[in-house]
Amino acid sequence: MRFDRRKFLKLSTAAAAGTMLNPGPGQAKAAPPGPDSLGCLVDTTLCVGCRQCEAACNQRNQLPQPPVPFEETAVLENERRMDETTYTVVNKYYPRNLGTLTWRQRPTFVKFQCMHCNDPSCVSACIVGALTKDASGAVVYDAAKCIGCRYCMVACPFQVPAYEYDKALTPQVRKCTMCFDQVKEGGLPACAQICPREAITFGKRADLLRLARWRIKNHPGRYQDHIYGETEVGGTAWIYLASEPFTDIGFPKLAAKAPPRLTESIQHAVTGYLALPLSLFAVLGGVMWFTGFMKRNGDKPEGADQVKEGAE
Amino acid sequence: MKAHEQAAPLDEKFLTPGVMVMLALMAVGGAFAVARFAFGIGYVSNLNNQYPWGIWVAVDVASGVALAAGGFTTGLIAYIFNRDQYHAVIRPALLTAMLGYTFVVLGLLVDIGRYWNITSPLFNHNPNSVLFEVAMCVMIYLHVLYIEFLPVVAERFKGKVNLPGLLSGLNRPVESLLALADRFLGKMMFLFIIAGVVLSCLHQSSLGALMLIAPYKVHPLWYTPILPLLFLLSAFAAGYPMVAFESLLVAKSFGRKPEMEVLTPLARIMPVLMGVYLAVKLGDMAVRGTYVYLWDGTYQTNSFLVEMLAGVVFPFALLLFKKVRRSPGWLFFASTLWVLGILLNRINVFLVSYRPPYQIEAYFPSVAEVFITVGLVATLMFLYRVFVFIFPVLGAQPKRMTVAGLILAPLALLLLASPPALAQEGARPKKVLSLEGRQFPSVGDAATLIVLNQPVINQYSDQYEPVRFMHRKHAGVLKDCTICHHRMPRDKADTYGEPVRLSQLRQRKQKPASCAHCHQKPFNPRQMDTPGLKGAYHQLCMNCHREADQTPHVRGPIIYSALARGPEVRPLDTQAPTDCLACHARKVPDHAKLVKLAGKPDALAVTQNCLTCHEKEGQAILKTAHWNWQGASPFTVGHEKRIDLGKRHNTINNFCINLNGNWPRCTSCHIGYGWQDAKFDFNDAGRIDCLVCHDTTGTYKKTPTGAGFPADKVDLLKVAQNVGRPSRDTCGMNCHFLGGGGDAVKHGDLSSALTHPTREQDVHMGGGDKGLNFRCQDCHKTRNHMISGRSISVPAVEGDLSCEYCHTDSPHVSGTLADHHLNKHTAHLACQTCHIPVYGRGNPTKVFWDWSTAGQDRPPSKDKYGMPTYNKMKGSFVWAEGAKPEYHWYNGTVRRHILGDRLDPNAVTALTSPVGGIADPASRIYPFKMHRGRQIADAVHNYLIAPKLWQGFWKYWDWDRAAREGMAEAGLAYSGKYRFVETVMYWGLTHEVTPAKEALSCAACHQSLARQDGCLRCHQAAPGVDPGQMATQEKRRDYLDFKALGYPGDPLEKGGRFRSMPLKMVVR
Repeated sequence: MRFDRRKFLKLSTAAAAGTMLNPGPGQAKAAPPGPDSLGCLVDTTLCVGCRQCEAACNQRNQLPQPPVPFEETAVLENERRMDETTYTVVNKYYPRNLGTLTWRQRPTFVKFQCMHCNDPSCVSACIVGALTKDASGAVVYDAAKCIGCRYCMVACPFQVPAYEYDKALTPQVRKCTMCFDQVKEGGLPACAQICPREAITFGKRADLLRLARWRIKNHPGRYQDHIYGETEVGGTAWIYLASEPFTDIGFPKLAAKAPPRLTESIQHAVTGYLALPLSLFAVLGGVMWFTGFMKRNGDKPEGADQVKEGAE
Repeated sequence: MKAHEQAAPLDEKFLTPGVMVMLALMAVGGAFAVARFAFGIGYVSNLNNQYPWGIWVAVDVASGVALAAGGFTTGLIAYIFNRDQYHAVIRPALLTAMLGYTFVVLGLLVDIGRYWNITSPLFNHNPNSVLFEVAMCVMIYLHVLYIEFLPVVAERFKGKVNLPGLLSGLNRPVESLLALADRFLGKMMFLFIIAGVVLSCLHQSSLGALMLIAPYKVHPLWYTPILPLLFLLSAFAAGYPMVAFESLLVAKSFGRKPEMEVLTPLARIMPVLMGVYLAVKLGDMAVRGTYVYLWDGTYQTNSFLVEMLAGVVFPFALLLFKKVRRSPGWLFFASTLWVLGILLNRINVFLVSYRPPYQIEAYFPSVAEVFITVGLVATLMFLYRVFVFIFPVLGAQPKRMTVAGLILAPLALLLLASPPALAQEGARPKKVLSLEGRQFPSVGDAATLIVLNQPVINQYSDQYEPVRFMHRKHAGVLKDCTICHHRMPRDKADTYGEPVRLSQLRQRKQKPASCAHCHQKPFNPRQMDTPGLKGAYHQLCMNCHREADQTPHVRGPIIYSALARGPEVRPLDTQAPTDCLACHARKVPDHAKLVKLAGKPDALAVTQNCLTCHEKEGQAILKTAHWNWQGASPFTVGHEKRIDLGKRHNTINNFCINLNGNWPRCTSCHIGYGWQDAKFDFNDAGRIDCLVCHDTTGTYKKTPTGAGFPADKVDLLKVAQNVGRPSRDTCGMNCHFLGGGGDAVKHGDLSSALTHPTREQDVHMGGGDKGLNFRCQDCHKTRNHMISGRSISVPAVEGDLSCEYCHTDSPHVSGTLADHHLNKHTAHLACQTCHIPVYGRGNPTKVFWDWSTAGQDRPPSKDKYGMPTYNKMKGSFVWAEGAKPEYHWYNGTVRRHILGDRLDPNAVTALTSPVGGIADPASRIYPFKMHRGRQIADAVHNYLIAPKLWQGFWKYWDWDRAAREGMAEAGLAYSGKYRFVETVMYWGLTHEVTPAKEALSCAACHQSLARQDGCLRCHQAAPGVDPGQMATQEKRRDYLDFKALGYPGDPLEKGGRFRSMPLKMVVR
């Protein structure tokens, strides 16, 4: 094989352009949520575990009826998780330390659903961009793009997306949509709308954060001085207030850094503008040319090498 | 490109026992794959929402990619570094990589749910996704591999294309295509070789980056930001051991000479690459300090230790020895160890290290998952065999084949090991609470005054009845408007307001602002801290109710009042409700659609139909007093611990006396069917009469002598299709208004007049504009069909009830002077004493019943009310209407004469009587209707007789026979001599509460106040207030006989029972 350098470079560039799909310029940081980004504040001290939100969610999303009716509050005795037929669950957590006769003695009820992260791992992970972070704040799923790899489920730090394993042809990833369709038209998420105690407040995330801080300040002793979701994994659209430490009521302890920041920085460092692959291609091409050149111009080193190996 | 002159297709026997095993495994795996594609992933796999990735990803994809690294690493050394001596292993490695990547894609097709959409990433790009990069690289690399393999195909078929039959016309074009490809590829191949290396570097590392997105799920022993680098290094290090492993295996299985002249030099590179990997890995562990986890002893850390020691350190150490590198056996051993180590590493990273934050079910691969994976591997090996038989891949040294099952053995072992492991997983106890056998409250009613009629609530009005909020009751309990009406606006536009002060409201004669004034739509961005109306109601109501739930004294010291007080002081039974249904009564769904019964169903068929949905309710009924006609009697003196007191067997009245022997007649009021004799099965829910309480048509009637069965003419289907909540019609007209065998016979305060009373007849049940129109259950709160409320005549108790539960012990709330004095009465007088001044207001009620005259053929006679005064079956009666009650001290406990109790032949026997006295602080004065009678008793044994009336006395008119048969049924001795004795029963009066203006006024009892100057002795007259007016208007005088109650006289003048009164001093 004989090539001159000019031909080699021309061909290698063409090959690279032809074989690699350009991943496009990498974004160093995810865009912070806009000022109009919406969310919900869940005040777990107000929740009484009536499961109305579960029922409303079930109805709004036309999910199948569960075997145990929503009126049955005994199901709260088990820690449950969302699944492909349930976008939200309320769990009951008994206080760690039973103390004096105060309201703190009561169990804490926590509603779980998709947290709609500001910098969602699932959105970053999704191979086809079937999951997107909408300007409204909702993380929305588009089944038409999905290939069903379930990488979003691996990625989610809250273990939210669920999968229709039992469907043979058209399984989907199912999770809370923050009632995206209704919210777009000025409506409310079904759970926030139904909640009898208004434990779920719906609004702009910035307002909700202000409200949460106001509540903490104005009800001394009632709340932990921590708004869950304010900073966790880069912040979430759903934020929580609680009287108990969040790790005691079923929340994972998460750092402020969003996991996609690490993976995307690696990803873009490696594939950004195809710089690294093309450089590697060029370097390897150079090595190949050089070793070929050496081989053609002097059989000795190679022969010597062979002898040496053979003598081992 | 250098041609493989010495490579040639194999030419020997294709089908061997090993191949048969492979084919069998392929068939099994294929069958499972068919099941997976036909019924879905969930049908065959153990994947779940906690573990979305299983061995299909960890083994088929991740390990497959890693172990196919031989392709690019040999390409790198043989072509890019131009080391020609390695060309001998290029083609096998290339074939392995090509087949390996093909099967990575096939494994992926099995694993991804929407496999038909696998081309989606071509059109929908997410450049941020690591998986997207992996997919693109793998896809392109797969094609690069195919292209790299094309020369082999061309070499095999060039000049030999000979397609059969019709396709033979294509021979020439195919031939020329092959020639073209061969010529073109020969020149261009170097591009693809370099691209292959670049692509491999990219996706091998990115595979490691895949799990970086889940820092909280991957165990820190594996989770490191340099995981991509580790994956790349380990892939590099895996390439040559994989080549050696494969080459030696092929040599062994085809009986060829091991290619040690190539493998030994390769083996020299291996420890270098391994050492780099090991050093980086250990360095990373040291830097991040994760070595602290090493000895945790969990399955995760143990797996890490195995991976590192057996899979990395050991083969690395082995390969440092020259002997190992030169011996085919040792080299195979070391390479295998390394290959298995990498396999374990990939499984560890993708599976073992993965800890879902909420683990409900554990994951262990199912048999199907294992078999599909094994089937894929078998197919790969089979195709490898097919390829080496067809194409010139291996060196031309044909020898006899031996065992291909060498690889299959460990796989089979894995399979054998998995079923017990699976069983173990299945046995893992799941934390599931059984709902069976537990009863949950479903209180479905609440009393109200203001109907909360809001759009939010109306939205669900098809499910719930509107909330009737008892506003005045709450005001009376709280006695502070500002608790609820906390702020009010200063003017119309004011949304902040000022705190409400009672004095201010009074001064301005102003009502506090309604809740809806400030609380309207929720989530108003301008006042986020103001809840919407729904939230305001629920937060305020429930906060208070939940507090009340925990503090029994919230409504004052009424636990010491008479009816609330039992043998021991205890918190109230009925507390502020906090469950939804206590305030929001659920509407009864239209049962016309639910009850489907063919033809003309009988009563038992209807009950069976009810029980199909209401089994729980049926079981609850079996525990109630209404069903058992007996129960716990905590307030009956001397029988506090019993649970079997009741009219089922042992209580006696002076109406129809006793149940024994009289079942079919008496049990026509039982909420069951067929209680004919003592053998009735009280555990048979199928005999419950649901309709008698839940009928809404008003047509359901029981046959008076039918042992509870309904009358034939009742259209049971229609009744069953119109069931609803009990009403005054069902509770009253089906039973309680007609107690004692006729309207108002038994109860002085219950009669058919209460079916549709006016407010004057009953302030609670009265209809009309101002009436509250209470149903029975608005006061008699019900849980699990147990109905609260107590009667002095009934020993079984299912919950307390008294006026104070709503009205508190300071019920007069207007704040006037009169109310101040009236509230002082509640410690000594029951509410009923003043507010039920007469009984039998609707219909005449029986006050005397003489059994001794029964059986005579007298002409029927009637009294002034038109009521019969004589009946041959029952004897003679006296009726009373609008009668004044008798007053007695009562502390809530009852003395009861039960069957078999001895009686004093010279005294009147009290069948029930209140316990209490003037010296007992817990006693208060209560009004009673007295029912006196003369009934049959055993003259020798001196106890009351339970005569058999039904089919007994009423048939033969013979008291002796009736007494004998009745006492035999009751299980008591009968001496043969009987006589008639006088008895009396006290009947409490709590219904037919009059409006306040009809209640007893002060002067009705306190004679001293009848004088004009009564009140004015102490209090100055105020304009518009005339304390004497009340006294002069009151027509009733001396209503309470103070001396009979134990006072020396009017307590106002003579002093109260525990302290003297101010007026006493004045009078003196």
